[in-house]
Amino acid sequence: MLQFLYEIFPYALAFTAPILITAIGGLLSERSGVVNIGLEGLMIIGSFAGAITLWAITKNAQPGDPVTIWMILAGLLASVVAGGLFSLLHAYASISLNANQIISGTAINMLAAALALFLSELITGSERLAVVTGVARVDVPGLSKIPFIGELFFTKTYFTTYMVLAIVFVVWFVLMKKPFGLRLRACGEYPQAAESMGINVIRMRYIGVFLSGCFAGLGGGILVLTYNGEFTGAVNGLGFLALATLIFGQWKPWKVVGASFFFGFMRTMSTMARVNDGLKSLGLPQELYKALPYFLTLVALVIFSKNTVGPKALGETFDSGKR
Amino acid sequence: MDYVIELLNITKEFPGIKANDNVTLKLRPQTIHAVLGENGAGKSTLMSILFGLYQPDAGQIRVRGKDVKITNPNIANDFGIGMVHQHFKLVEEFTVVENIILGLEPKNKYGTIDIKSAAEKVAEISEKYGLRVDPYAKIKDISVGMQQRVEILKMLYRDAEILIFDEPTAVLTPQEIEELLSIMKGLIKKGKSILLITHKLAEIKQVADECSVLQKGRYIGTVKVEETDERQMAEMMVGRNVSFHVDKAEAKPKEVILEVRNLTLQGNTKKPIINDVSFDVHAGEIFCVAGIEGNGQTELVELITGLKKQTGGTVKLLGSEIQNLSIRKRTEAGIGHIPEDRHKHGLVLDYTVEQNIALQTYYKEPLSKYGIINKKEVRKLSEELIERFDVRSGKGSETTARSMSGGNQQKAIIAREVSRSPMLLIAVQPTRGLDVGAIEYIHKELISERDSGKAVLLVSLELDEVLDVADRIAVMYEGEIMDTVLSKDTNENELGLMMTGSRKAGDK
Amino acid sequence: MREWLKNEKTVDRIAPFVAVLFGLIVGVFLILFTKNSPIDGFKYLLQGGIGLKDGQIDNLQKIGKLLLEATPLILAGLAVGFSFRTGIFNIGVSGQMLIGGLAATVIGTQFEMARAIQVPLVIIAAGLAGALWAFIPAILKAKYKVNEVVTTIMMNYIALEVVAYFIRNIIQSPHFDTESAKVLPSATLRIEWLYNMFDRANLNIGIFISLAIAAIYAFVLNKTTFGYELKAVGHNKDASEYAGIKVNTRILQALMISGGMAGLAGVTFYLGNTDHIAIGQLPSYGFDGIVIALLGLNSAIGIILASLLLAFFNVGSGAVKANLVNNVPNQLVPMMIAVIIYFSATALLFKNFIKKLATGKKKGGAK
Repeated sequence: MLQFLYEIFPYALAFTAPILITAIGGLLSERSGVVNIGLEGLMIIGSFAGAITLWAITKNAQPGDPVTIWMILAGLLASVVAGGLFSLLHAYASISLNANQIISGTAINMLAAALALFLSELITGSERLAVVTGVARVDVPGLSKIPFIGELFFTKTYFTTYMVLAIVFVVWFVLMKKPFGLRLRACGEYPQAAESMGINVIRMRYIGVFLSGCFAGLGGGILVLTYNGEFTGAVNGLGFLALATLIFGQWKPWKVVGASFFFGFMRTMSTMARVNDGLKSLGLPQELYKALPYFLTLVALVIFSKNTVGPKALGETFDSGKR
Repeated sequence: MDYVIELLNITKEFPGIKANDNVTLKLRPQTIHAVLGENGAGKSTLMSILFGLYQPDAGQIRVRGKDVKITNPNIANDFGIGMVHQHFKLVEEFTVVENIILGLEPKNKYGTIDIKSAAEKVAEISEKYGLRVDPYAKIKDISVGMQQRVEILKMLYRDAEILIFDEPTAVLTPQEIEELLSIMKGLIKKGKSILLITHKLAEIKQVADECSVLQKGRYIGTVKVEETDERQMAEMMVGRNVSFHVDKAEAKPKEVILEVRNLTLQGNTKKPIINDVSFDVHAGEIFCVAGIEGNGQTELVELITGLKKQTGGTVKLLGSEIQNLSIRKRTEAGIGHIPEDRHKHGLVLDYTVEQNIALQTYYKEPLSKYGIINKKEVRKLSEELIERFDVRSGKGSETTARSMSGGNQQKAIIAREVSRSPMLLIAVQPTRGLDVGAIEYIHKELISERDSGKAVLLVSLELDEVLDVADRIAVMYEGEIMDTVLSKDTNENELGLMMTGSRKAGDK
Repeated sequence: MREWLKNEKTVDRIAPFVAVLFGLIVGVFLILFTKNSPIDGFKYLLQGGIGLKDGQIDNLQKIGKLLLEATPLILAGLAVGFSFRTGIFNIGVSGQMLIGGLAATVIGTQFEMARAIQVPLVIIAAGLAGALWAFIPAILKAKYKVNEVVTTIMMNYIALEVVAYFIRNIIQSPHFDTESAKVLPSATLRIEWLYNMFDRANLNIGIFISLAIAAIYAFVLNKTTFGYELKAVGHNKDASEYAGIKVNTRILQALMISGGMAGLAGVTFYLGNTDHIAIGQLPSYGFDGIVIALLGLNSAIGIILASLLLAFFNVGSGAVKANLVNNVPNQLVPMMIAVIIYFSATALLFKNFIKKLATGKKKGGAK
């Protein structure tokens, strides 16, 4: 059993990072009142930007040249910027033009997938873009020696995972402790109240959506530069999984952390179901592990339906005249 | 300084309507100045202009004698103007303190919100003005009266000197109203100045120093409250002599149409929402359920019409039990219903007039056959009712309900419900938000239904209406009927007492 | 002119054309961007889309392909449009399509019956399966008031896994791990005379199904009391309930009917356009359906026209890529479609612009 956990944990952690950061991005958008089902597309844009940046940097490198941490960071930065900028399309449509947020999000998903592949083919001649060397897996010095915990959490890890956790902490701190967070949450709960207190709802919502784009972009970047290793123009529903995570985590930062780890764990079980002896002996179909997060989210939604969970004004266009 | 606020010759036009036409309003320091007008007279627009939510097309705003431009609520705040909105602008999930400090949060040295010092300041202010609140309670857990005090504290926290109260008593119980009015008096003693927007004459008489009257967007005039009386103010508001009495003959009640026995609705709270309610409504009478908003009247009607399911008791219509029938079956059994909220329940706003006219009968011949709608018959019915009930709209039957005036929307609903000649007509606040002409029309309609031998169940919050229109009055308080009285034997005082929970004098 | 533009309905009807125009403009820029001639681009688009070459259509194959492509698009568009008309956002058409296609493929690969029985059977099975798949979000919405957008998205991904399970365990192709076996000739929707008539295009019974469903769609929504009730529920649930309409039942039925149409889109695609079902991506038709419903303003005729337009783009793009001098990325047409949906979503922008043109003055902020 322990051996099984030791095997699966590092992968699950690695899988969790992109889901978690994307879900936290979604959290900021939705707590400000804007539904963002475009997370999938924003991840795609992020993964493309990360991959193409690293491709451009290493294009002329000789075999054996090292990929430095700075190159990786440059790639991730490109992911963040691209995701953020692209999300402004959603922000403009759903905040400034009062468009239906679901339709706008769908447009983002379609546009992102098409644009990323279009540019990839245009620039490199191929719709696929392999990342030759991505983020390395390392044992954290010192910490990995701690019995049990070290084996689970600090062995064969990507530094990006800790980066994501640090960001989550900052988001939680700002959202729950700083004036900015109070104001952002007010915009998602009752924007007319926020407005009457002199808060610029439009601006806050733009910031929420923009940050969701940055974080989802980062999620896509991490995905492509860590275990995926290749840009293919899709993120296989991870953006929607992040959305499920956000709901399952009831729009609360720490619960989202828990939910995304659980879902990441399920995904890992699914990919290992046919190779891991322990899982093989269970004999459950791999599809079950993969479908379980979505199913559990449905169950959670039914349970939540009894009392209101989630931002009250979520998905409503903001009309300052409304009372 | 003669005036703290001067709104001079303000004009504001919306497509199709002049909401404010050359309106002037001057507020003296440390006084309460009432702004009186019917629904749609332009009071809210005027206040929104003062608060920076709208820009006037013409006119001038002066604050403490200086010309100013108020382009958004922040600027109004900077001038010390604060507003208590009719519908509270409070975040339910936040605590009292969080709501008060929102947008102006005190910070500690780490840049985080300093809730503790904020709570202390709130406590200090609430002490000073006698506004009791629990700073750490969530808004969703506190009473409406306390929510309103939070709204007032929000302004005081921002050092507002000029306070606008927009219809502040609409949602309060009489005790809460008394308390609010005395708080307002306390505020002006401590140096604040107040604009009170209302259409309730009694409140003006009780607290205001001056009163400015608006009528259909026009400025009628300003009077000193102590030099005038309610009748005169009412005339200014309506623009003609107001007959406070509706002409009607003595009721001739006949057989029982609606028989409600021991009706009970248990909600999530311990106390039932409707508690063991029994009454009869006879043919040929108008039976009114009076009471303060939120004492179970809405739910009572929902139980009778089938929108909600009772937890106990029976409802009989013409002798047979209907409490377990579907909404439609009850409608067919002879209930007509003019609902409380015409936009929510009464009309499908995006449907045309004719589609709305058909809303209760579309599935029956001649409007449809074998499930297929006969558009010619629908049009015929619609044209007939538009003519008979004088429903006015741009394109007749094809007008979208959304684009009609409130009065004509209500007429369309009445046309639909009355034309089916139901034995029982239920009308819930049928005149809310309408102008005097439409109100008179609707009262006449109700009375003529009564005179044609139908039973009318009226639910109203307005005591005037209750006394004028009803033949018998039942008063509801916290889900129970306190007593039933004949309207000719009672008066406003007695009803008011019952509405606050005391039984009829001599009853105990 | 101004009077005409002032009419709300007219403005609504102009909006889709403007969205398509924006899509075309973006297409022109993208072709320019790849250093090609846009005029050539559109020439080849016409050539590939409807077989128009040198001013005439020499054979019907391209038209056949266009109609073939339009078949599942029409049904997906109707599925989305039907949900829109009843105030529901069915974003799960892709999943319902998959499940409908799966049911049909299971029957079409595992059993062999007389053609006259099996073909109707796969069609009915697909419709029912799609409806049943929509039943879950439908009951959650009707009974627990759970927002259908999230649930239908979740159902899409569950559908993907269900299909994967069936392919890996029950209907796997002998040749490919990630595909189902080929549908038996007795179950395919393809028919000989259409095949010959349109010069080997796989046009099939599906086109008749889609047109028939479109006709029923229009009839039900515009002429029947059922349609009147559904639309009333879509506009205002409270007023509908007050008027005695069984709101929850209607919501349940509406979403299931929408799912049923999506299931039919599945059978026409997996047993007509192709002959097998595969593990992997969601069919894009579900999302194209949203574009189509928006462009078609949820009317049957509009949806058919919009489907033909999208099909034209999709079918024609191959010729554009093949014939232009410099390489054009595959995603040219998806880009255009994505732009169209974005501009449909933001229709308000140019609606207001048109209104401004019409009234000739600034819009006030009425309450």
